[in-house]
Order: sequence, then C-alpha cells, then structure tokens
Amino acid sequence: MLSIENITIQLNGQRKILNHLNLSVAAGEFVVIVGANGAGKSTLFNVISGTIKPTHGRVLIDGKSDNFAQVSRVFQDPRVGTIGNFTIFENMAFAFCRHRRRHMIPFYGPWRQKFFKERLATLHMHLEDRPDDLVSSLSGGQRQALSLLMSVIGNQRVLLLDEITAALDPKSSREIMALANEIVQREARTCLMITHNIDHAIGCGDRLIVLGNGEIAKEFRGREKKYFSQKDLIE
Amino acid sequence: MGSEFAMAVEMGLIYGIIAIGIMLTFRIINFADMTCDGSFVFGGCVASILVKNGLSPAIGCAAAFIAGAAAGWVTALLHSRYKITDILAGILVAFMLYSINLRLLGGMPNITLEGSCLGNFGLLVTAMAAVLLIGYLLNTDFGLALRAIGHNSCLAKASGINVAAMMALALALSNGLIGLGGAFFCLTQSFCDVGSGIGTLIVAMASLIIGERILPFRSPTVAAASCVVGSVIYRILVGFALHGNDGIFRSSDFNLITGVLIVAIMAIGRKKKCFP
Repeated sequence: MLSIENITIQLNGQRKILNHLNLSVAAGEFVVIVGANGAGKSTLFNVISGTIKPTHGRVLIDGKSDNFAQVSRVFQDPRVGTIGNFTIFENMAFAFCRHRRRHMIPFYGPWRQKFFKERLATLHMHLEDRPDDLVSSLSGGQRQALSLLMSVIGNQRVLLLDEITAALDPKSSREIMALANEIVQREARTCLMITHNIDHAIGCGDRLIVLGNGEIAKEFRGREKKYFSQKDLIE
Repeated sequence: MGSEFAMAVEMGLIYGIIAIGIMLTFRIINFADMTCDGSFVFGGCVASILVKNGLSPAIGCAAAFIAGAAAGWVTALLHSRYKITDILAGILVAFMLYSINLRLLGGMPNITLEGSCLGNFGLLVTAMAAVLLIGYLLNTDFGLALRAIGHNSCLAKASGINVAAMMALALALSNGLIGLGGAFFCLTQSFCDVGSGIGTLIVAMASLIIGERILPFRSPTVAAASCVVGSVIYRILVGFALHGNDGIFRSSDFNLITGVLIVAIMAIGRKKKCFP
C-alpha cells in the first residue's frame, strides 16, 4: 500500500538525515516509529506527506508516485492541526475538503451539518453540542481529538500521527491514544505513528520500527514488541 | 449641512469598498499589504484617463479593478517568489506605482474631468454588491481555504492548498476593490491627483476598526457590511468634527482627528468575538 523506496535526504550535500531508507507498509497496518531526536522520524513523515522532496528515492502510495492527496497528518501541537480562529464546524468543513477541489459552494449545507455532528459525537466530548464555538476555546486534549477526527474525515488512506500526545498531560495523553487506536481500527487506515512514549510504542500498532542515523536500526513484529525496552531506543 | 451629510455618506461608501479590500488582506489572509496607497491612485488614474478619452465610466471602473488587481498580484509575486517581506513588497509596489501614475497622467500631477461621472445610487449598488459578493465568497469551501492560509498556513499546505496562489488571488481581489474605490473617488470628484492616495490605508483601517466595534459578529457578510457602515460613520464623525464646530478644527486637522479617533476606538475596548 505504502512503499518507501531507497529514500535519501541530504542537507547541503553533506549530512544525510535519511540514508537509503526502504519501508513497506501493508494496507490497514499500524506501524509505530521510535528513535532518538535527529534520527529522521519527522523528516520521514515530511517526505511521505510531500512537504519535502527527497534527494533520492520515491514514495509510492497504491503504486502511484507523489500520491500525497492520500495522506493526512496529525501534528504534535494541536494548534498546528486545527485553526483556532475557526469554529469547530468550520474546522470540520475545512478538513472535509482536504486535497479536494474547493468549490464556490457554501460550506454549511444541512447534509454536512448532520454528518459533522454524527462524526463529532464519536469523540464522546460533547463537541457536537457546540459546533459554533471557536476552537481556541477548547482544551489541548479536545483540540487534539478534533485534529484526529479532522485527519480521517477526508477519507485519505494513509494516516501519519506525529507525536500526538507530546503536548498533553498524562490523562489527556491516555485518552487521545485510546481514541487514536479506536479511530485507526474503525476507519481501517494505514497508519504510521511517531512516539517517544515506550508504553505507547509497545501497546499500539502491529509493528515497531527503531530509526537511527536515518536508517531502520531494529524492527519488532507482533509479540516481539514486548521485548522492546528503553535500552533499544538509547542504543 | 444636508449636502455635507450626503458628501460624507458618498465618501463613506467609496472608502467602505476600500475597507473591504483592506479586510481581505489584513484580517482574512493576515498580510500587511501596503500596496493600498498606490493601487488606489492607480485605479483612479486608469479610470480617469479612460473616461477623459471618451469611454464610459463603467468601462473605466472595470479597468480600474483590473489595474488594482494587477498591482496586488505583483505584490504577491514579490512576496512569494522573491521572499520579500509583506510590508516591504507592498511599499515597493506603491512606490513604483507613483511613477506609473505620473506617466498615465501625462507627466502632470493632476487632471480634471468634465462634471461628476457617477451617481450616489451607482455607488450604493456597488458597495452592496461588494458586501454580498465577499460575504458569499468567504462562506464557501473556497473562502474557508482563503481564510485558512492566513491563520494556519502550515495546515493549509498540508491540506493540499497552494498557499502562494491563494495569497496572490486574495491580494489581487483586495487591490482590485481598492482600485475600484480609487476610480469611484476620482469619477465622483471629477478630479484625479497623483498624491490623493496618501493616507488611504489609515482611513480604511479606521473604517474597518469602527465597523468591527459596532458589528462584532463572526458572519463574513456582516463583517464585510461592517466595513461600509464603519466607513460611513467615520466620515460623518470627521465631517462633524471639521464642520460642526466652526473655528475649533481646520481641514488641515484631518489626519490628527483620524489618528485620535482610531486610538479612541481601539482604547474603548478590545474586540471580543470578531471575524474571522
């Protein structure tokens, strides 16, 4: 489904952030990526989402190169993944048209209102009762939950979760992770998640990848994952 | 007093259209566009020259809109292609437009037209059309994308929006409206002066701020309407200050009154829940 072929990112012709990286992810698979700061995790996400072009190599989604319209991303900071000056409803409408042609038709049609309310109800945060509230008035956890929902509303097939709990308190972090797991399973998306949280790395996903110096240093599948420790990350 | 009131409303409608243009850049796409002072006169010069050469005022106004839009597009190009900061790009374009405007006027600093070419009814209809058009545009999926680039360009890019193209479009639309305002100004006054654009931005900002205080609602249509309402009120207030108290203020005090008025309105209270 997602195929990363021989990707190299080289800065100013010198330091290689990603070094001939190859990775293949099956449809519906949930891959967790860990690694020290500077290992190239976020750069890998930037390449998959088309934000930066690789020096060498290519990214194939459904066999097509540069198929970035099939990628949605949840950012570490919920303020980046949502628009604070927009209402909840406006954010949903904005995300609904992600990677689609944006027409000159009103964004607040009755069908959409009903659809967005149904989707907001799945968050169990009562956001569906306050669609006209500004997103800046929501808590960090609520905002990240909305960002998660926004990332799957556009029906993109690849979902990138970039340290989505890093800016949250432990309680919100637990809730958001549970929600992310629920959404990924329910929506059957191909998902890649970056995390620094060992519990999340072990508890989530089908496969765990340790990235180091721009390469895949280790890989754990299924039951092997429980043997992953902090030591593997440091090494 | 009646004619002064009518003149204040007339000027208010003209600057209301300009304030809508300013709203598009300063409030919607968060771009500090300084092209305004140049594109206002550019629109005025283009319309005046065309009308003086026998073309109809409607064609003159359409050409002024296109001329203003072209100026805005150049500012966007300087900003996105050559990475010149928004303020400097606008100042540069306005600076260059001064020479172009002088050339358009045949090297003369001003020209006069024969009689007033536009009626107040035409102005009112155009202002209302601008309000409804911009209000509708910002309520669409396309408008939502336009608003998003100013408030979260990172998410906008990640959502597949061509930020540079959208910015160019917003600047072109904004300066097109400003150019149209310049054309209305010259055609109603039957006079075009190359220096008449100085302070346009401040006056439009004053109108925008007054409108936001009076109609602090999030509806895009109300926000666009508030620009026109704010502009008319601003003109009435300034007109009253200049003519209502004989002997206290002179017409040369216009800038001082405008500045004090803006400061006073901004000091009265910060906006609570405004567009966008």
